[in-house]
Amino acid sequence: MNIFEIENTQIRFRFDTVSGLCCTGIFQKETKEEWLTKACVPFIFEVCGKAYPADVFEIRKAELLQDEKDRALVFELFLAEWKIGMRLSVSVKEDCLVFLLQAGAEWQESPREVYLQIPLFRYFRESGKWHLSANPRPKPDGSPALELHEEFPLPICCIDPETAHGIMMELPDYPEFTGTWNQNRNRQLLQMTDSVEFLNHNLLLRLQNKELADVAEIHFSSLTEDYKEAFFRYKAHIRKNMDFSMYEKEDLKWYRKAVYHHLAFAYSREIFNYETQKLEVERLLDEGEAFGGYDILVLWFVYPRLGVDARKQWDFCDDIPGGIEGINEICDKAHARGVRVMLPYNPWDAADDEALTDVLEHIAELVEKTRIDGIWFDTMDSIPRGCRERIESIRPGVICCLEVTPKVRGTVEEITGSWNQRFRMPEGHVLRYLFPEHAAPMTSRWRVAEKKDMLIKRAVFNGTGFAIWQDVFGAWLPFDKEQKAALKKWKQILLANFDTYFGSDSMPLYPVLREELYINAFYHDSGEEEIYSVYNASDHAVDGALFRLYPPPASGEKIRIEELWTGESSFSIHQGKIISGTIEPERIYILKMTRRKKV
Amino acid sequence: MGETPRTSTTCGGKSFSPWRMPGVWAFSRYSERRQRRCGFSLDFLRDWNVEKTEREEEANEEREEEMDGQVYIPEGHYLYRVEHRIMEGDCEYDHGPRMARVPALFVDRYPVTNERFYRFLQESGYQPDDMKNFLRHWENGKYREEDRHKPVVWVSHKDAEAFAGWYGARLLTDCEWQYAAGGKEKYRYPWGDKYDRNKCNDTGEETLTPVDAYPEGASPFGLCDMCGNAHEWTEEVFDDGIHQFVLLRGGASYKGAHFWHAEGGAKPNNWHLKFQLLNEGMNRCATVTFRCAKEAAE
Repeated sequence: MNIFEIENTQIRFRFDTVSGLCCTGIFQKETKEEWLTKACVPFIFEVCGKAYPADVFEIRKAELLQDEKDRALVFELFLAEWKIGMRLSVSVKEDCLVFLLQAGAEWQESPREVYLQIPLFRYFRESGKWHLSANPRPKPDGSPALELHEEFPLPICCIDPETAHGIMMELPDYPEFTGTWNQNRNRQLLQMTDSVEFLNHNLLLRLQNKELADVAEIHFSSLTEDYKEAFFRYKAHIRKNMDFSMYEKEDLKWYRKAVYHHLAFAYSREIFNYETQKLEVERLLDEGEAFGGYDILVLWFVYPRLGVDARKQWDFCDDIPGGIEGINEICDKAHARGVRVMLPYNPWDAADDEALTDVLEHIAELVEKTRIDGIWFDTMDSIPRGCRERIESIRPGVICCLEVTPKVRGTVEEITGSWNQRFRMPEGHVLRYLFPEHAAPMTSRWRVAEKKDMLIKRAVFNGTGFAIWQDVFGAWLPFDKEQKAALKKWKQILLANFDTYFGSDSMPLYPVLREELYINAFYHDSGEEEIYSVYNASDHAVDGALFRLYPPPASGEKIRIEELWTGESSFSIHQGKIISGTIEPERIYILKMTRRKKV
Repeated sequence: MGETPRTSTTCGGKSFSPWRMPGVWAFSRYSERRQRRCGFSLDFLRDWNVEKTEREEEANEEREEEMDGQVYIPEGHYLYRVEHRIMEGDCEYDHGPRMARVPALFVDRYPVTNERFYRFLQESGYQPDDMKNFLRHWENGKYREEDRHKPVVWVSHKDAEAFAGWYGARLLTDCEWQYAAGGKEKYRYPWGDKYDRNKCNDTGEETLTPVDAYPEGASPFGLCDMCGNAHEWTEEVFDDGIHQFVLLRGGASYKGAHFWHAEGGAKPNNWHLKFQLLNEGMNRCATVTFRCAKEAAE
């Protein structure tokens, strides 16, 4: 037997062993399309400058293994010249085929450098367009149109834009161990931002052991609904093994709808009255109405004052106007208006002999003595171990907010909010879409004038809250009237459509029919409402077909289109699934679709 | 501890005793004690312990007389330039280069000590409206003896102004301070251009030392303790419509450990630190003192 096949419901792999190991087909069953345009070796090794394709390896075993649950096609190969052992297996999983390469070598003296290539990708259908993990959609300058996260690498996809059919490849990765000691080279493939680089990759392996080690693992699956299907499948995989119970806690739920934060710099007339020497929170909240109202105040009195003397942040709580009681008065006045108050924790302001337990006790004491609603963890992408539990033991419902986007998945699970301090368009951050329940308002920090406009657009485009920060530690960078009005309007839209913007399903880089456009999509869990935020990044208007609806309206289903941001009504649906209209340059449109059964 | 400081003030060969000079503010502390001493009987002097105390007091008096002294700085001008780390929040000030004019001044040779501030309280009856952290390091309304000759701290800019005002003086402006510290020579540090940790409070202990501990660190005009012991308030309160801030000078022995902390340590003459004002409890610090000046009559 020289032909070996293995398949699941979506894809079939075919190998031929007549003249060494060769891959002869990757067949997409649902669409009946062959993705491999010609037979090719599944891998090539390079040792001391000489290439050794799979077909020069001796095939020592080729068999289909099966038990009651799993099935795998396994080839065991050997390269006598260098005593390199190799195993290629394709295993059937629930919704993918796992293509696994393992290698080992028995070196005479010391290991040699070995490079690996997987040439299969080069022979995929020419109509297929690559969506790389580190660059799912390049902007005109080649850089990614999405801010990515090392802990959650996106899949690599090859999709035919005409048919929306494609192949999706997920590459499991363990970034904590990313480094030269990791034998699995998936990360190198995940980090590539250019498709030419990806197709011509040459991965340096670390084959120091005789025993076979995983060197590449690719999970193949099929796509019929473009990148939307890829993103949601990937998102489901990511979320499957995570714990979101913190987001479900009743006493923390208020935080999700607290969409507008405000950093109140105490050394400023924005809140402080130099004549009365008092912090005037009610005046601050009154002025915040121009933005649509603040939901959370971060009361900031620490940096850049800390360090003038040896007082620590905890001491300042006693020394600011009114001391602890003053903080509580601020809390009471804010609470009376439905506004919450957070105080910062600055990890860098530690005493020389300060231990973790001291930190926890300081924070616990602060929570105990005050009526604050949260701690804002300055400069941090995680919180001290045990801190959340300690806070909860004092007063449940006190939230933790990170200044910096969480770095690891454990923090995403534990901490329900962080600030997004990124400043580009049309980019959004992938975490916004993977974990919409994680509150991550945009903030302007140093941005002024049109950069502030751009950040407002960014919030609208990505469906996020906003952290209004006008006094950056003594630099007064106010929003102008138009910007305030825009933020007020945006808050109304965001809250009115909260369940759609923050439903289970939302995605960045929704497939478009025009290269000038970028679209993010948000879906109501009921399936009856969806919002597409459409941005034209070019300098000219885009007219005509804009994007397809996935899924298209069902039989007997009617779609109503409403534009929420500009109020324009020139959008329509054609051929039952294509949205058309005119998008002016550098403008954002919020298209709300309502699906209704025809009566 | 340093050597006994010079006991006279000279400028251009002229000696000054400012409290006896017309136009220079006067301090009254000696008269009362001297009068009391003059009235003591010989019997009292036979008591050895008392005599010892008296000798110590005498030494203190001499030392404090010196510490009360002023230095004459003739009118001058210089090309002002300040360089420092700009933290977030900026430092909204013209850092030069620009020409700065300094009037003829009598300037405190030393920062105001705890002892001198105590006398001020006795004489003036000064009591701030907001007592938060006022002289927080004192016990029972008085400095601890070991702090007697250390620069007074835990005093706000307002407290410092009250002190100066009581004696008809004022604080040095930012520009004046730099001139007083660097002299016409425009030294980088009060004693010269090269940093020398033995000439200022840079032992690593990060505690205050008496104002006369480093006489070798005196500026060309003879001003002492201008670097690295305690920051000094300068006169101007800047108001940009949103914030109020004051510039601190000289640096302090305390150094915050982290990059994000405000800078401490001994600082060069062409450095200042933006200090954003809040309530008095926050404006009073363990590391900020002041010295006074008065424009010399033409």
